[in-house]
Amino acid sequence: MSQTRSNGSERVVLNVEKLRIHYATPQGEVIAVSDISFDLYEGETLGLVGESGCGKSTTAYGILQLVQPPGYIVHGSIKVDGTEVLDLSEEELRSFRWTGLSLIPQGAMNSLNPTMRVKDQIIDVIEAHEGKQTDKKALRERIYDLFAKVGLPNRIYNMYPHELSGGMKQRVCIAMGVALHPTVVIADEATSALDVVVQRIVAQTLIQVKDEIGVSLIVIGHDMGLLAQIVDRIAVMYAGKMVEIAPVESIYAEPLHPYTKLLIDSIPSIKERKPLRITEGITHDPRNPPSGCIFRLRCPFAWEHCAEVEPLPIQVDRKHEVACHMFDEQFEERRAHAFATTANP
Amino acid sequence: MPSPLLQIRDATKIYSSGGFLGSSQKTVVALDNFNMTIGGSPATITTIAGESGSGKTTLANLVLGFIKLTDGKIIFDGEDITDMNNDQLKLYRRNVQAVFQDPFGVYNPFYRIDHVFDLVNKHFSLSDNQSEYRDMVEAGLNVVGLYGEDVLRKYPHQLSGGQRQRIMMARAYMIKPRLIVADEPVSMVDASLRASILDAMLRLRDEHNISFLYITHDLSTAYQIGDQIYMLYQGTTAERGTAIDVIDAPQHPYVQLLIDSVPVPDPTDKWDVNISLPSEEEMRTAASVGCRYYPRCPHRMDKCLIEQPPLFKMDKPKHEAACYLYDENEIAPIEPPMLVNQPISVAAVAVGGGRNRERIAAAALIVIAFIIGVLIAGTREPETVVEIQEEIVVVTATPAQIEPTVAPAEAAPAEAVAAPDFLLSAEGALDKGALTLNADTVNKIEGDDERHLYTFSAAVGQEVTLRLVTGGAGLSGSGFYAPFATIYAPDGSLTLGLDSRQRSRRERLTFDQAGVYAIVVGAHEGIGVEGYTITIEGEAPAPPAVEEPDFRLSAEGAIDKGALTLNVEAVNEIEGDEERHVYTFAATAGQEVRMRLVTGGAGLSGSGFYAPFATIYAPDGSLALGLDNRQRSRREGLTLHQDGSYTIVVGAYEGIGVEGYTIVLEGEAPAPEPTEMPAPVEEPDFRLSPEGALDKGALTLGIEAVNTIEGDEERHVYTFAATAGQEVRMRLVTGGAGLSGSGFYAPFATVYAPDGSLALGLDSRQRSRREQLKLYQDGDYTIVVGPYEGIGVEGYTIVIESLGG
Repeated sequence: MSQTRSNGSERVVLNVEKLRIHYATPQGEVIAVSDISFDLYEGETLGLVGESGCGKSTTAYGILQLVQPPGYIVHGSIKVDGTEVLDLSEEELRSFRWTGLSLIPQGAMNSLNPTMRVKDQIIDVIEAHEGKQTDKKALRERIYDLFAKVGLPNRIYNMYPHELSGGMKQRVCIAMGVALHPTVVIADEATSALDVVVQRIVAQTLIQVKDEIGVSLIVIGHDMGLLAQIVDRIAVMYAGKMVEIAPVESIYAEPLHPYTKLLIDSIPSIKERKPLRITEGITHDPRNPPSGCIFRLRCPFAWEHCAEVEPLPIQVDRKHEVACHMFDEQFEERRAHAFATTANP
Repeated sequence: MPSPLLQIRDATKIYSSGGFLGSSQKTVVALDNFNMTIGGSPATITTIAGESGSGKTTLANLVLGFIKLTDGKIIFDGEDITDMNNDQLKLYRRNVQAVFQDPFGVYNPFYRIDHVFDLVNKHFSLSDNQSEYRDMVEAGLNVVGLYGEDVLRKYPHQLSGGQRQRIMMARAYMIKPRLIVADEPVSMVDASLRASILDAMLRLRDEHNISFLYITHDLSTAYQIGDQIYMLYQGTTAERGTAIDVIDAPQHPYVQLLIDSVPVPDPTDKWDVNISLPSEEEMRTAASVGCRYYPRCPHRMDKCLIEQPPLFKMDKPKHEAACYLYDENEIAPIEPPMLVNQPISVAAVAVGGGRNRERIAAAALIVIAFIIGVLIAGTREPETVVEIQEEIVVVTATPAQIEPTVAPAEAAPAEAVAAPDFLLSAEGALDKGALTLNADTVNKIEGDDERHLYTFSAAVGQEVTLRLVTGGAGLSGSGFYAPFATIYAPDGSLTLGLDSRQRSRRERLTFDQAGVYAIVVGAHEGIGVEGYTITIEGEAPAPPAVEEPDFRLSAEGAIDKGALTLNVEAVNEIEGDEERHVYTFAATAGQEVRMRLVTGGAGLSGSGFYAPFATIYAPDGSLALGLDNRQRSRREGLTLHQDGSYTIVVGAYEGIGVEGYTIVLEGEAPAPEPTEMPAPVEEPDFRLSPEGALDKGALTLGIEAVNTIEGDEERHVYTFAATAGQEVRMRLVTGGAGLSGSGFYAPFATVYAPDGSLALGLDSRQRSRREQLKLYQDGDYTIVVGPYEGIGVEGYTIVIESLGG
């Protein structure tokens, strides 16, 4: 897919091409990620969204080369600044993580080592990559700088994780994630466990830090409200497929894929009371996906063609791609009809 | 007019740490003079919203009867629940059901879903007729949009979080309650699946006349389904009204900030990044006098410090906000936002700054508000009018009259004990080995408000009891409690971390290093230390016991010549829980082991992202060793300094699940003491009446043992003999709170003395609890382990260790 960020750089820092990840189970192969391709631009924040089990986290872990058995990467290409991540040896990967790619993990609350002080965990990151630091004073100043960037007080330097609040632990994780100025930071549901005001403070910190040190960011989440607030582009995943990718403004103003519509319609609003849109989640057996379009079993507009042919990404706008047959020119009439019926139910 | 379904009147819940050793009594007010009414018919959804620590879960626990009010009344259908007799209580439990936050934790992973309904049927005797009962289950599932054939024969892990929560609703529905307390029922469920749970709530309300007390921090779902809303802040109602009125036009400055922070799914309506948000630490501070929001409030006035603001009427019916900005008796307030009927984006401006704009219309609006207030006041209940009168009195006070009301605490008398070799680096009181500090002394010692540091020296093998009593207020995951104490060993490792959730905690410690230990006392959240007492009592160091290594696995792990080797297959057989595996083994003091951990998971570390870690906890709960798997393979030597049961917890960071690891524990025969004879191992005195495992004074029961012991699902009884003066430590670990036929919390243990009096009661709110207990009578003590409410015991571990005496 080839989009450009509305007002940012057009330099691609991360290029994912035909990434496919399976889980081998005794009952057969589960296709967790199915031939996904996208670019991430310098300085951009990309949201990766979808419900549980759609493959968004697996995609992220695939990019980080952290897919665990029985999961494995079937094929694909992941290039960070031109470096093919899949070709790196385990040792090269270790030095690449934190400098090329870093992770702010899901539920960062529990991801700090409970037996190490905050400073030691950050020093660990630095020394693992830059070797033993002899100038302890400079090292401390450097960590204080990191604290300042993410809004942490210096007094937590010597503390253990259990002495910190959830929001503070989250910030420590952000500080670790950006400590070595990586090219790409992946934040996996990084604020989902926080109170709403703390979530806002932490999310805004994340974006400010990103802008300040100029990294590119992938935010994985299921909260469409939060993503609307902080990302530049959104990629929507369903059952391992990327069904739509577009700048955040267009996707909320005019979602094209029926699944994206459903996702946006199911957000509870605080501005308008609406009938609830009930969805049951992914319904098919992931070992045995339906023929043709992955979404057709839940799609209100599906017709025979959707069972026969798999929809490929169609470029509807310079920055907007959608994988749905209705946007194929030959089915324009069907689209017009479908959209008319949903507009006036 | 029929009586309301539920009335909460002047409800106050205070958690207190009572005047320990003469120190001043400190209290935390979790709920302060709270009033609420839920009407009988038609059913409604009343939302209680607020951030962590606002008191919303305390309120839920009060209504469910888990905790008792300090003051005030909870009246259900005309009856005060504290005065109910057993029959009335049983009926109350039928009428008031609950759905909890965690759709995973409430299920026993070993049973299929139909077990949930079988338990309900058994306890409430819904039907003896199998086919009628099956129809009832099916009907209950249908109400929440599920079908028996899809779910009943499945295990909990095979269902989505949304399905699991709806099964909880179906379970509650079968009992035909009149009120369901739903504590954060959607917060752990995928956003796109939440609608199904909310829909189930609406159907139960509209088609079956069941009211809800909906506890949440998610304002958008409250907006979609809520009728009334109460916005709590630090135990008080900041604002209340219909969900639509309050969320559309919030009036209280805190509620304005909260609602402005809800992410709006519209990229063209983004958060104003320039808005000055309070730092996270400021957010956690609360004023102790006057309005609790004062430290954070952009509109604060001097009068806000005098007394808590009462609820003032807004212009919509039943809409009230507790803020002096709306005090119509006051001449021009300093910063009146008066944002009535203005869009939320304007409310954001009011929070962030730009205050001048709001001044303009203030005077005129105050007059209007006053008139409306007078008109509405005619329809109020009498108690509210009283509030207004009180308010008029209060306004006559001036800020100059505010005086500190907290009397300085007296220094506590120290207990006389055998002289250990403590040494204080700061000017604390040191008296016969017992260091007793209270707020007073501390304030003199400290320049730094945030952390206090003490050091003392200790010898290897020395045993002490550390007692921490705190009085500070703050905000934590489960409540409001603040200061904590952490002890660091001479080598900088963590010896013990105490937090003060319980406000009073006692731990026994054996020091394994010689040198200077440091105690750091500090507050979570930068609240400042508000007063605490630390007592350290030392005892003569016991001679180290030396014995052959004696590894034993409590679960079915492979054991081989003292080496426990676990791999992923063995683990999967043992564990129901994907995230954490727990093993215990017995050790004797002085024993040396080598631990090797080889993992294959993913996580966060300096050079990579690898995950699982293993942590070993000593019998007293302190951390013996933590291994993470940076290198994926690590080997550590370890000396075990305590007798008793060590616990290995293997878990993954990040909920990745444990993906495969090997732990090899190798014991080595300790070198024999060249000069001293090993101290004889004292014969313990415990006796088990059923076929529990008895081993060197430690009774360890696991879920398998329990199930084989018991004929009675409801109560397990053990007895043991004791001699007067004997000290024991009791540790209870339970396997799940939440699910029961009619009640909501799970196993408890009660210890009765030979004369039938209560020696100790443990409940399992925390799922893991440890208590030290001195036995004053000779004879048979009885432990009764049983569920509340006929849940059946779902799995627990009790460890009792003799401490001598």
